[in-house]
Amino acid sequence: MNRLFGIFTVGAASLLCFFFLFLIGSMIVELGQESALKAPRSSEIFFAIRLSLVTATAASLIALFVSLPVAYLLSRYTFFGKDLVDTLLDLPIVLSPIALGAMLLIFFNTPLGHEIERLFGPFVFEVKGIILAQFFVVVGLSIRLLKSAFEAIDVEYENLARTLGYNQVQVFLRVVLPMAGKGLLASFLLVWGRAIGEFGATVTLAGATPLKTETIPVAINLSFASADISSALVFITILIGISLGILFFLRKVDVFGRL
Amino acid sequence: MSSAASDPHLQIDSLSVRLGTFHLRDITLSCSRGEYHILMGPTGSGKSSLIKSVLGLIPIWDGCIRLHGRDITHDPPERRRMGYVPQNYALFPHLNVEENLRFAFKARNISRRDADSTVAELCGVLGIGQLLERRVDSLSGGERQKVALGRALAAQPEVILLDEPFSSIDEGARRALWFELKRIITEVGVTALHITHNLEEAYALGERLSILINGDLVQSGSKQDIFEHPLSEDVARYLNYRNIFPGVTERHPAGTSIGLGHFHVIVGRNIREGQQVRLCVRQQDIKIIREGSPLKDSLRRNILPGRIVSLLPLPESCLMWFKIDGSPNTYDLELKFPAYIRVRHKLSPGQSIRVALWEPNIILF
Repeated sequence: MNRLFGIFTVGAASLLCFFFLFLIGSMIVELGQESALKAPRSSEIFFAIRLSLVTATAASLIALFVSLPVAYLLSRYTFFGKDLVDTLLDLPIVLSPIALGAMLLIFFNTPLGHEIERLFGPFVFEVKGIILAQFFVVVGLSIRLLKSAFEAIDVEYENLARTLGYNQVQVFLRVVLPMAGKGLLASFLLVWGRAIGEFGATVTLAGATPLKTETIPVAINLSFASADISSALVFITILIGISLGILFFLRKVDVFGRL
Repeated sequence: MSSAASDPHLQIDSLSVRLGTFHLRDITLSCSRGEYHILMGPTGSGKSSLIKSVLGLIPIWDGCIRLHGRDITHDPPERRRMGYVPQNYALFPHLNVEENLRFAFKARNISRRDADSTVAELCGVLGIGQLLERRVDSLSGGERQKVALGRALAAQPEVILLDEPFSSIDEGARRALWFELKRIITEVGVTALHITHNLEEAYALGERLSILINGDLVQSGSKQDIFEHPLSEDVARYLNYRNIFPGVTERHPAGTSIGLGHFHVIVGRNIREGQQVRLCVRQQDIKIIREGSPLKDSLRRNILPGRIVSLLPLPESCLMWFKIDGSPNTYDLELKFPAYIRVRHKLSPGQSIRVALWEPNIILF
């Protein structure tokens, strides 16, 4: 029985790894054949990469900044309605990104949405819309990851710092943040990786205008739509490279254990 | 409960704390300046909650805490000037030993010169000068304890609260460290409130002791008071006193006789006849009679014949279970005596012997 269970677990893992390797391998073979036929336009590639990097970084930084106090609150305090707040903040994790994008689009058609656009400029079909869409898609994940990072820190460290003369803000800055350092870095990278691959909410709120709101996932979609397989493959390869790079870095700095 | 010290440095008055379904009720406790006070009690009795409420980390429901006469009940923890050594020491893992020691200085705006001299002084007292550059995760249990103590003392607290400071230290190293800790605290001259559930540790270190059972402070007093005169059966049971019997008092020419079923015990005190009491004899206050040897007066009144049911030799002592002749019980008394007695008396299970109760130490509730 034990041997059978061992074969089952190793077999499942091997099968899954083989499947992923096959997917990547077949794409590389296809890329070699397509590149020979037609070279993709470099200006479009660089625009999509630059836009993706800028928007994903901005959205992730904002998400991290907003998530820090929320995650700390949820990890340290018990209050009336906590379960409701927790559930509400988890919504972006399970909600379809297209639905989230549609909700944002509808919001900007309300008086409050108009007022926000009047104050901060247009979001719909704009780069700002990409950042906003990515932010809402990743903020739930960011809160969840940071909450885990904070929960891994024994509250006794904070108690002790209070007795040594530090107030709550100083404790957060001088004890909690340094001790959650690796967890924060891991959270940021995972959130950034999720943001750079975001498509559904982005395309719904910011549209898919070439050389305007064309992030890497939007570019893949546009390339496929216009049967430009070479460009699509290049964009997919870039996205895989970024994703593998993040995952490799996370493993190297040994932060998975904290999440 | 014994009266509070005449000049209380730390005074806890009628403190009540509510933690879900668990309550600390009406706790009154005082420590004079420089006193080493032990707070003991079984696991889950509320010892850690009590010191966390004194530190200001748990909100209190009612009562008052005074430090040198100043009401600090509603002060935040950072303004109480109380040092804390938690059970796991909580040394900051992202800082080395020296940075841990200096941690309090930044919060209190201590000048570099004063900080340097305090660190040097602490290294001298604690003997940790050679550890300053070390990472905290490379330290032994005893070294961690000293660094945690040094970090707390660096803030120059009025009172230091130690929560089970020996719980992470190997059994073999503990005893030496008990006296090392006491020496350091005495040398620094700070008032200490030390939590433990270890009776030997409490006895070895405490000048005054308080016992907390299920959220109630049931007795507070000197070490002798607590160990020789527990005020209730709960305290006696917590102190691991096994020989506790219900009985009824009867008049006796020598004082009072207490009928305990199949045997009776005579005490020199006059107690009203017919009163329901509980009698407690500590394991070490039951002596094995060496036939033919002269008997001390305090042992003459209560001599009980019987036989040894079983013996449990321990490294430093021996436990014996004894059945009184005519008793329907498996055993009646538990005795504890130095290990060499077993060899000297050639004791073995089934052997018939006589034991005597040391009358001055018979406890009645």
